[in-house]
This record gives sequence, structure tokens and C-alpha cells, in this order.
Amino acid sequence: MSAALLEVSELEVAFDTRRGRVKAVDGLSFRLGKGEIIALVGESGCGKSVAVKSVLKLLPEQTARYEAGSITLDGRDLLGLDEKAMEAVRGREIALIFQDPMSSLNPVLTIGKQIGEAIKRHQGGSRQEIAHRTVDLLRRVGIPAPETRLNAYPHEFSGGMRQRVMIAMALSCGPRVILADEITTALDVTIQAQIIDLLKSLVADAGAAVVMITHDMGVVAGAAERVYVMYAGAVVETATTEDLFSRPAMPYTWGLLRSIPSLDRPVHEPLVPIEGLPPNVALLDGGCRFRPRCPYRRDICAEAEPPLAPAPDGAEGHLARCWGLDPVRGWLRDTDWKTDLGDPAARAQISADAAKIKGGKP
Amino acid sequence: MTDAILDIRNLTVRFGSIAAVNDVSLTLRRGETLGLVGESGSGKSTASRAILQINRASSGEVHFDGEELVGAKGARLKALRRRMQMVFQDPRSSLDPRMTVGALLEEPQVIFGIGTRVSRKARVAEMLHLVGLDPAVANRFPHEFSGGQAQRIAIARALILEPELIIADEPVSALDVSIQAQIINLLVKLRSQLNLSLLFIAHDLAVVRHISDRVAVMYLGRVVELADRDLLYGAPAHPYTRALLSAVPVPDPHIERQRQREILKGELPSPANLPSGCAFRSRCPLYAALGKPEICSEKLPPLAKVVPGQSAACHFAGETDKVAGPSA
Ligand SMILES: Nc1ncnc2c1ncn2[C@@H]1O[C@H](COP(=O)(O)OP(=O)(O)OP(=O)(O)O)[C@@H](O)[C@H]1O
Ligand SMILES: Nc1ncnc2c1ncn2[C@@H]1O[C@H](COP(=O)(O)OP(=O)(O)O)[C@@H](O)[C@H]1O
Ligand code: SF4
Ligand code: SF4
Ligand SMILES: [Mg+2]
Ligand SMILES: [Mg+2]
Repeated sequence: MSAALLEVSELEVAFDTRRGRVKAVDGLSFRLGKGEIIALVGESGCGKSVAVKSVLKLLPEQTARYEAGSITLDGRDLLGLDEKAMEAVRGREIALIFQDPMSSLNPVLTIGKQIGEAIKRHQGGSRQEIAHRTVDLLRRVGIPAPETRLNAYPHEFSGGMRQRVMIAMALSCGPRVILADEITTALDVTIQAQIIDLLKSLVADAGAAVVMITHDMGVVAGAAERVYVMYAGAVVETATTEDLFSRPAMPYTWGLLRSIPSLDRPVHEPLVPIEGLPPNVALLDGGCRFRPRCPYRRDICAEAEPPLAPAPDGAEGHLARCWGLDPVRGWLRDTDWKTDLGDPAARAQISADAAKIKGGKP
Repeated sequence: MTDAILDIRNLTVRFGSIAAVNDVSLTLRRGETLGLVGESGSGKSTASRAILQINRASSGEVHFDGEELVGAKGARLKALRRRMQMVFQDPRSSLDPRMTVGALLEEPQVIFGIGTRVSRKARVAEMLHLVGLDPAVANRFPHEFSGGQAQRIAIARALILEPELIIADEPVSALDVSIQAQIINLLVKLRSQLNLSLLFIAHDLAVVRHISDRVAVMYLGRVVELADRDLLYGAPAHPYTRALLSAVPVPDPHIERQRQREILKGELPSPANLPSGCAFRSRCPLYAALGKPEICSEKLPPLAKVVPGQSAACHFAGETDKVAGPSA
């Protein structure tokens, strides 16, 4: 493993809500090396966005609480920085790109002006230099004939082009870390492929490192070197992309992989959904967080949260959170996840529980 | 009763100077699922709304079970509309937040004057059960449900009048993958249980493959390929279909690494300013590989048979292997 550029360890972030304190991120750890692409995967509400916003301390100050853990950039603690020091980190060292470029671009300013502002803020320079650099950046992110597009407004660009503009702005100050939060989710596959290629080439050419946040296992397989699978605020499995896809260790990851209608699986093979409802972090009860939807669960799973421990395949850095993998009493260490779908009675029970909306929406 | 439940002939829908749907002809056989795919803005939703007469057709015909829908009005349209229902992408915005689930499901029956209060309530319970919800949820409001549950409710509402045709416009696009699979499996189950015909619209080619018997690919308002599922995915005939397939990421790092991607350059051109001849020309890898043959810029390629069960709108449909193909 390379030396960590960005390291998050045991991070816990909670929100004060009307119904009390809700832990959105609960013991998250990941590390990003120089020139690396890692992925945080998980379904909506699992805490991906809260995690990346924490890195830049962009959460609402009134309600967000950093309860435990640390975030370091090149060994320097970020959580302890004051707002002024944080300002200098944002954009200059770590850039965040959001899913919806429309809400982060200013609709009444031209594209050229917005990128120019970003350059000016971070690097300064004469008007001419800034204009020159703006055109250069737009060309790098693949906007055709950029010199003719400087006076366009965001609404005149398509979704894919706006996403490129966001990437151009993120690149404007040469950040070392790019946090990309679902940046291709709203795009067509054709444009998604272009944007991912662009990210990869930025890593290869400019030496940036990327934390890619996504719910798309296909995107992960094609781009990331290491994957962190999140469920209800915590990492439940992490491995190199290679290991995760060839030997996924725990039931949630199995469920995710089985439910994807992928082009490479036999067409008549039915999809196996994860039964039940998306998790609600306000309703966690101390046992395994996946237990309400896990068809492999046993009594012990309700007693305590399983630790993130080495997976049975023994691959370096392959960790999973599941009592079924426990070296002594585990019952899932040799399970063939493709054929053994868990206890049918448990599956039926999970669907029946979900039908009653116990717990309701997350 | 005819074999084709839906027969669309030369349907065109214009908004001002642009043709959002341009000379589209499609048939949906009874009991069949036809998938409709294409990039954002290709005209999928407009086509489906024109079928239901929500958007007005500028020209063309839409026959439902042999009866012309275009221009149908009043009681006749209402009677036909009852037999075809729509399911949308965002279930929560398609369900009135002030009505309980029970009231939402009763409403179509009330509109059509079906049953008594008691029998309607029984039917609501039966439908909720069918879509995998506890009938006791009838007195809850839509906002109390997760996206997947709300989509089940929308499906129950669409099915309550026993329609023969369901048009589902991106019904799983807004859902998490684990929940997507639940809803796809539900649709597959209901389709055979209730003998439904299904027009399934999505931009995700992998989802469409799992549910469709045949697939139509749209580009800028036109159908550019129409084929049996296995032909379309196994041997795509149109360069656009090939490019779309090649862009779909596959959750397998080995495949991804070895894959020769055929990445389409650029974006969809503006529908107000289409390239002459074949509208795909500005992005077509085959056009480039063949040295920009004149016919592509001069003549609109008609949707023509390539092999039985597969048609494509490309002058060189037989020669798509001249460019590196999708390797998945
Ligand atoms: N009411 C309208 N007025 C003007 N133009 C419209 C209208 N509705 C749709 N269009 C245009 O028609 C074209 C097709 O739009 P449509 O919504 O049918 O696409 P789609 O294939 O459903 O896309 P998506 O995948 O984004 O849902 C687009 O260029 C769109 O901008
Ligand atoms: N500002 C906030 N106040 C209260 N709860 C929040 C806030 N932002 C996010 N959450 C909650 O934190 C959890 C994780 O959210 P998020 O990180 O946005 O998920 P993801 O990005 O994985 O979809 C969710 O339960 C969400 O409702
Ligand atoms: S700990 Fe138990 S409930 Fe949790 S994933 Fe493992 S088997 Fe399932
Ligand atoms: S007709 Fe020409 S431009 Fe159009 S798809 Fe075929 S080769 Fe490409
Ligand atoms: Mg998010
Ligand atoms: Mg649409």
C-alpha cells in the first residue's frame, strides 16, 4: 500500500435532528494514496455524501457533529483546522465535484466568468492569463471549440458539458485530491464513459488522486483500484477491486452483486434483489446493521455489531464486517454466494416485514 | 381482438420546429414486452405520452387493439384509456400527497364507476397484497413510504382497473440497485400473472435486457434499431446500438480491463439543428471508419431488415464490424 495522502480513520459524524441525534457516518475509515482512484460504494442514504463533505467540513455547523475519528491530509489533521485554514484546503488541495452541476454552478454567470473566478481566487494573474487558462482547462476536459463557449450560460450546456465544467473548475488550482460525488449518476452511459475516461486520464497525467463516490458497481470495476462498500454509515467490506469482485466476502456485497442486471450475466438468470427496505440509520439497534435484510442472519447477529476483520480469503487489506466470517464460529466462510442465497424462510420473513413498512421510509 | 395490442404507424410529434418523435413505427404484440432505449432527449417519453394522447401527434396513427387513438375523444377515449395505464419514474410525484394510499387506489375505480364502496376496498387490499405490501398500509400517505414502496403503490394503482397494456417510463431509474431488482421481478411476475403487454422505457440497457422480448433503440426522435432481444444484444446491427452497449459498464474488473471501448465522441446534436442525411453521422464511428461516405450525408437511412427479427436504420448495417466492437 502506498503512503496515505488522504486518510480518514474511525470517523463518526452525527446530526442533531428533531428526533434526537442520528449517526450518519459511524466508524468510517479509508485511505487514498498518491495517484490512486478509490471508490466508496453504497446505496442512497448510506452516508457517502456526508463522508466527503466531512473531509472539507462542509456540513451545516448548527446540526452536524464530528463525534470521533480523524481526517488527515499528508499527515496534517484537517478536523482541527479553523475555517480560514480550511478555506485554503478547499479547492486548492482538495476539490469536491457534486452530482448535480446545475445546483453548484451560478445560473446568471457565464461559464468563462465562473472558471475565471476560480482561477483568480486561487492563483491570480492578469485578465489575459486567466482567459487563456480558462480556455486551456475547458479544452482539457473535452469541451469542443472552448474559445467560442466562454460567454455561454450554464443552461445552454447539456448535463454532460456542465459536469465537464465542474471538473474544469475543480482542476483550476491543481488539487491533489478530487472527491467526485456521484458525478456520472445523472448522465447517459455514453457521456458517463467519456467523463470516467477523463477522470482516469487526469490521474495518469496530472497525478491527482480521486475518491469516487458511486452506487454503480460497473463504474467501480472499470475505474477504481480499491473499493469500500458502505452500508448504513459504516464500511462493511473493503478490498482491492480485483478481490472484491472475485471473492466478495459478506452478505451485503453478495446481495449488491446479485441484484445488478449486468450485460455479462446470462439473460435468463433471474435477478436476486436484496429483500426489505433501505436502511434507516435512526433505527439502528446495536446488532449487525445489515441484519434486517440479511437472509444468512443468526441469533448472534442481533447481539453486537461485528468487527471489520480480515476476510477468509486472506488477501491483504481485504476486510469484512460479518459474524458469519468469524474464524471460530463463522458459518459463511465457505459459502458459495452465487448458489446459496441464504435461508428461504428468512428471505420470506424479510419481505413480509417490509410489506408492513415497519420503520417506514429511511 | 387483434394480435397487435399496439400498432404505431409513422408517428411524429413536433414541438415548434423540432420533431421530438419522427416517423416512428412500432408494434407491440399481445403479451409482449417491448423495451425502448435511447439517450436523454431521444424522444422516449414523448412517444409514450403521444400513445396515451397526452401529447398530440402531429401526424401518424396509433391503433390500440385495432382502434385508432389519435383524434379519439370523450367517452370513446376514456374507455380506451382505461385499458392502458402508465407508470412513471418518480412515484412520489405521481401520487397525490394529500390522499391516502387507499384513496389513491380507489380513485380510478370511482372515476369509472366500478363496484361498491365495500368491493372497491376489497380490491384495494387485493392489489396491495399483489404488489407485496400489507393491505393495512391503505390508510398511510405516500410520503411515509420509501421510493421502492411508492413505486409498488404506483404499480398497484396502474393495475387496479385490469389494463391490458402498461407503459412504464423509467420505472426503476430512480431506485437503488437492490430495490430496482425487486421492482423488475415484480413487473415480470405481474406481467405473466395478469397477461399484460408492456412498453418498458429505460436508458439502462442492462435493465431493458432483463425484461424485454424485443427492443427498440431511439436516436433523436427516430427508431434506429428494432430487434429481438438476443439479436440486439448479441449482434447489434446499428453503430449507435453498438456504441451504447459498449459504454455500459460491466461489474467485472477483468472484462472492464480488456474491453475495447467504442467511446462516442461528443454529445447528442441539438434536435433543432440535425445533421443532414443520417442524424447519427456527427458521432458515428462507422461513418468515420468508412471515410465519410456521401450517402450518409445525403440520404436518410430507412429502418430496413438486416436479418429476420432485426431491422436497423443504417446504410451500412451489415458492415458494423469495420470498427472495433464491444467486447463484453
Ligand atoms: N413540451 C415540450 N416542449 C418542447 N420540447 C419538448 C417538450 N417535451 C419534450 N421536448 C423535447 O423533445 C425531445 C425529446 O424529449 P423526451 O422527453 O421525449 O426525451 P426522453 O427520451 O424521454 O429523454 P429522458 O431520457 O431524458 O427522459 C427533447 O429534445 C425535448 O427537449
Ligand atoms: N444535514 C443533514 N441533517 C440530518 N441528516 C442528514 C443530513 N445530511 C444527511 N443526513 C442523513 O445522513 C444519512 C447519510 O446521507 P448521505 O451521506 O447524503 O447519503 P448518500 O450520499 O450515501 O446517499 C442519511 O440518513 C441522511 O438522511
Ligand atoms: S453479521 Fe449476521 S446479519 Fe450481519 S451480514 Fe453477517 S450474517 Fe448477516
Ligand atoms: S448511415 Fe452512415 S452515418 Fe448513419 S449510422 Fe450508418 S454509417 Fe453511420
Ligand atoms: Mg449522496
Ligand atoms: Mg423521459
